[in-house]
Amino acid sequence: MGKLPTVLVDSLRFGSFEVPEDRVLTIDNGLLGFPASQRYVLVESDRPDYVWLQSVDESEVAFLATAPWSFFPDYELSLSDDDQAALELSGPASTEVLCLLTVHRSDAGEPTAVTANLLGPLVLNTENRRARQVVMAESSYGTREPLGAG
Amino acid sequence: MLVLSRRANESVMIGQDVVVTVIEVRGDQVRLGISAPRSIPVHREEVALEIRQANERAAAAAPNDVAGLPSPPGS
Repeated sequence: MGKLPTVLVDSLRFGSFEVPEDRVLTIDNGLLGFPASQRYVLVESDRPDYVWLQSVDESEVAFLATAPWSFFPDYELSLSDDDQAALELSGPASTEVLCLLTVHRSDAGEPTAVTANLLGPLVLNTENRRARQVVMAESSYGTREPLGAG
Repeated sequence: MLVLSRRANESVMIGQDVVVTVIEVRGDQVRLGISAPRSIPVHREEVALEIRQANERAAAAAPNDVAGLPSPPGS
C-alpha cells in the first residue's frame, strides 16, 4: 500500500499546506467568475458552522461557506436531472450543500452584514468529490439572503 | 461576434454538441430550445451575471471576518 499522494495548496489566507489528494474537490468549469479555479479544498474555520472553500489553482481565491439548513431550516434544494447526472449523484447521503457567503462592509471596511447565496448553492458529491454551482433559476431565492444577527 | 438569421424551427450548431433551435417567434420574444451535453451549464445571461457578481463579492471574505459571523438560531 503506497502512501496516498498529497497536493500542495498555496493559499493567500492560510499559507501553504498539503492535503491528501482524495480531499480535493473538482468543480467542472469552475465557479462563475472564477473559471481558472477548478480544484478546491475545504478548510475548517474557527467556527463549526463555517468552512472555507480554498482554490488549489489560485492562491487568492477562497470563499466562506455554510450549510444552508443551519440558518434556513426551510431551504429547499431543487436539482435538475442534468445537475444530478453531471455530478453522478446517487442520493442525499452522499450529497453535501454549501452556500457561499458575502461579508458586507461599511465604507470604513467594517463588517456590517453577512448574506448567503441561496440561489446558486454549491452541490458536492462526497463520493467522487465533484461539485457544481447549481443555479435554481425557478426558485424565489436570492444571492443575498441575510444570515441574521448572532 | 457572428450574426445570422434563422426562422422558426431552424437551428444553429455551436461546436459539435450544442444545438440552439428557434422554436417560436412572437413579437419581440423568441423561444429557444437548447440541446447541450449535461456538462455544459446553460443559464439565462442575467441569472449567470447575478451569480457571478455574488461569487466575486463572496471572494472578498477575510479570515478575521469569521469571529463576527452569526451563530445559527437555537444553537
